[in-house]
Amino acid sequence: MSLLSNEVELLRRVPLFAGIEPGKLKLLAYTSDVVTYEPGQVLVRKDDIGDAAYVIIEGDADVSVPADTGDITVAELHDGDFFGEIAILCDTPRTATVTAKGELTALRIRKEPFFQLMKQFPEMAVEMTRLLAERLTRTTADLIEAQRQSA
Amino acid sequence: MDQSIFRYTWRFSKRDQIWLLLVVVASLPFYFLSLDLPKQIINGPIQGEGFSSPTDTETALRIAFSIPAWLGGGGNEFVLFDGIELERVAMLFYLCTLFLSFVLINGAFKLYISVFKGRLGERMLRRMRYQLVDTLLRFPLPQFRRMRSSEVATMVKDEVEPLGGFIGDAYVQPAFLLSQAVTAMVFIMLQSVTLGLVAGAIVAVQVILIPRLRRRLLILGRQRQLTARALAGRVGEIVEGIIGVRVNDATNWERAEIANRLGKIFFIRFDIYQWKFLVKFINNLLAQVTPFIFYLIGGYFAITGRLDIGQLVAVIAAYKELPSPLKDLIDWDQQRLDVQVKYTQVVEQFTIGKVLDPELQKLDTNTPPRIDREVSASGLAIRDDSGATLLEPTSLKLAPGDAVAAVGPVGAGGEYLAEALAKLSVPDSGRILIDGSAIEGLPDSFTGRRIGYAEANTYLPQSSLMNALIYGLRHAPLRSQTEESRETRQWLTEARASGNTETNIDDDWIDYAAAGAEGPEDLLVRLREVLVLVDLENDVYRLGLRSKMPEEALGEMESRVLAARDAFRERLVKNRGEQYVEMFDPERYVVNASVKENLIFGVSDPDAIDGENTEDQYLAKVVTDTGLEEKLVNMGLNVAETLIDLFGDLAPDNPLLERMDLMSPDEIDDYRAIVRRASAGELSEVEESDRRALLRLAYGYIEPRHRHGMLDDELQAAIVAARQAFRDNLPDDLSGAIVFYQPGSLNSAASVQDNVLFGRIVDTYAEAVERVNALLRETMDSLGLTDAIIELGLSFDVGSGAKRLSLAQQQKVSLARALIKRPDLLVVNRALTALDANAQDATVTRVLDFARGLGDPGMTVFWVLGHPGSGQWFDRVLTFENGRIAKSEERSGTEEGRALEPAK
Repeated sequence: MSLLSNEVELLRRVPLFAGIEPGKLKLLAYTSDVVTYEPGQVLVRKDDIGDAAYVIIEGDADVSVPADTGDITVAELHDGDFFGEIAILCDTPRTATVTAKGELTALRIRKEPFFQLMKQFPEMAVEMTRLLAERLTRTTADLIEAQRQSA
Repeated sequence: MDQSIFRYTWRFSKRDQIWLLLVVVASLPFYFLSLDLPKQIINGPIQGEGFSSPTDTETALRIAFSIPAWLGGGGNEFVLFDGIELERVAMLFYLCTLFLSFVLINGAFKLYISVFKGRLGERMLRRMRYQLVDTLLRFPLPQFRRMRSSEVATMVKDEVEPLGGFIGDAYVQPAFLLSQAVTAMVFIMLQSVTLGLVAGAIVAVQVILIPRLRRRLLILGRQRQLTARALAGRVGEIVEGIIGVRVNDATNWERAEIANRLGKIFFIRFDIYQWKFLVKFINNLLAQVTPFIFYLIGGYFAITGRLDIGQLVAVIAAYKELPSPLKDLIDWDQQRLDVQVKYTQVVEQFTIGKVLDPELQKLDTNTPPRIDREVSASGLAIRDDSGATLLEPTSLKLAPGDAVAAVGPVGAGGEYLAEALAKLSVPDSGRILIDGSAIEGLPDSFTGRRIGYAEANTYLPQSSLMNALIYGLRHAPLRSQTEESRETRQWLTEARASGNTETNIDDDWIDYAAAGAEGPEDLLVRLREVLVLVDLENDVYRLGLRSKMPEEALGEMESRVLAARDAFRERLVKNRGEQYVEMFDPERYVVNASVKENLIFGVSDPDAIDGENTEDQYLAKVVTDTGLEEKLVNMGLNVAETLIDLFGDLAPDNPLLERMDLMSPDEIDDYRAIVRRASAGELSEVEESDRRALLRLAYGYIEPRHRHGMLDDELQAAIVAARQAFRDNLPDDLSGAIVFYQPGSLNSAASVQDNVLFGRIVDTYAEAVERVNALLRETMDSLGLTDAIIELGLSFDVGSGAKRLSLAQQQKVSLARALIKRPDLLVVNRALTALDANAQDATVTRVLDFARGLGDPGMTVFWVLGHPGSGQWFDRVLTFENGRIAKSEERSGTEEGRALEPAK
């Protein structure tokens, strides 16, 4: 059974939350739900409107996008991975589907507590911006690479 | 109704009143004899008059009469019975026995007269109330806009109430009292004309002056009635509009308003009080001053020799007899005035220009003819009270089976046309013809059965959901269900004697045929069909699942629900969903339930508590006795510390506080103080109130939800042990109030769902609730239990004004009610405003399919749409603008019509 204290430890290992004092992380954990998924159950589905971000407490998950030939797995997620924040930040539909590989337990962080925390801790907002910028750089690099290959 | 209560009473109780008078007259000789006998007893046997020697006898029981000379009797006596000779003691016995029998006869007369009067009054009261409601039902609809419901209710209930008591006395009392008074007066007159005149003068003063004084009382009485009625109306308005009062911070305005009214009522009542006692005072004064005059004048006459002493004493004695009937007569007159005021007030309210002809609402047990030609409106114009035009002259033809939609902004005209089609408004000009007959001349038994009408704010009175749905099927008693017995006959006789309807509410009034059913057996099938149409079936099913089973059905349901419990478990296992439900096991701690639920491990029914012990008190005792208290207080302390630690620093308006659970935001400071006090000393020294507060936190704790990690195996075992103690030592007064969970048996206090699940849903699993619900429904369907559950859901009490249903559910009920009777013309007037556009559209298509599927030509539909997109499903779409039809679009053929894009 998952306990608040373990969840706080888990959250501290997420880079985004690394700079936040444990007391506030405990609040974040308390106001979130622990959800258990069965193998094959979908945590988030592409194009759905999202209202929560997730930290995997235990288990593995596949990130996939649908394609003509069926779903293509683009990444894998493991213990301590944080995902789903884009959809709640920008109110955009989910960009990919996340499916539990085996039994999986995740902390579901709702939009409201997440934003409250962002408001109270500017360092978290900065960290968030850094993270997003990093991803943008990587995506841009991937795009250039892809264009060069197809040229 | 008559303007005077006397005329009204006479009209409806002539025979009874005359009979009553006759009985009173018949009782008078016995009364007189019973007054006369004591004299005979004293003078005769006791004083010895006529018994001068012990062997003397007197005649008793002699029956003889003489015929007066003018009838040719010539003074001869006809003796029928010579009588028997009795000695002195025997005579005493005889006369006393006679006296006793007269007392008994008088008593019997009195009893008979009182009961007769009482029944007469009650019958008239019943008649009057019935007539008032009967008239109310026939009021033209616009009249209701000007009425306050609670005022009308007061009139029917309270204001006519005193009338019943008075009516029995209306004629008899004055006749009786007057005859007594007149007798006394005549007696006085016979003794001395002068004194008679004096007595007459005083009586005249009383009779003339007192009513004059009372005139003021009358006015005040009327004011009192009006203000009291208005007060009832205002209180009713506060109750109905409580939301408006609260959201506008208008409570203090309402207080002032009510206080103002109460002030007025107070001064009126106080005024009445003062006048009443003034009148009483004058009345008593006059009565008591009279002997003074008699002594003075009578004494003077006696001294001057114009009157002998015997006469004076007799006059004074006779005068003693006078005030009591006079006083009663004046009281009666007072009551008469009071009642007359009340009666006139009520009758005035119910006398309005034009009530509907009773013929239009006549009970009709036959099935009315169908609308098989057309419904047409020609030049129909409607205005509101102020004369503003709501609908310009409009013409429309609806052939059988037509589906016509009206779209346009709110108030553009479609809704008024809809109301007129349902005979709800009176057109200013033009008319509506149904199969050639003008709608206003058609009886309700035709329009109310052949036309179905649904609107958004249908008022649903408190009843079961079932009764709310089949309201439109109850037009007349169709199947008698009352057995012929003495009680039912008496019941009917009484109804007739009070001019009430003789229909029996206990008969089966449901018109099964109208719903397309054969009888009670398959009505549920039709109901479910309609529930699906309006998308209410699932709601009803869920209501049923969450309901307790009625006591009378427990026996029958037990085996089925227990079978469902096993079947559900099996299904759960088969679908690999065991982990979704944590089973109840008396020997094991249920992790997904709170500590308190684990302790009690049952369901309590607060109504069944029979004594002073409450569940909480007993629980506290058990917790103390089993030594669990320290552990739980400690746990509560821990929870409090954590919560204060987490939430204590947040601003009071922080939305995260809502997720705190266990503690409410405004309790944080209290608990902070409790934690401070508790951590200062030994735990065992914590004050009683603080301990209770901490225990409360511990009781609500659920490990998987709160995750403080405080329920180790040892504590769980201790709680399970306490559970056992709770159950074993349950005091008698709680024994009926708590039903424990027990494997293999039904829990009569728990809902069907809890009985079938027999456990708690583990909601930390994703989609656990949805999956469990789906499996539950499958189980119920496969076992054929769904019908029973739906029936249970239909027995749900919708609450006053259906407040226990959501607005959307109320609107669905309103539409379902119009559909179940399968009308020839269905008029829907923006009835689904509480639903979103998609849901409205889905309902429109389902209802239209149903309407078209009802044979050829099917149901005619006129639907004022809240959402124009649904227009595409209709044969014709009328666009209303500013009270007129601006555009009419035909669609050729239903199937093609459906393929069209929504009307732009």
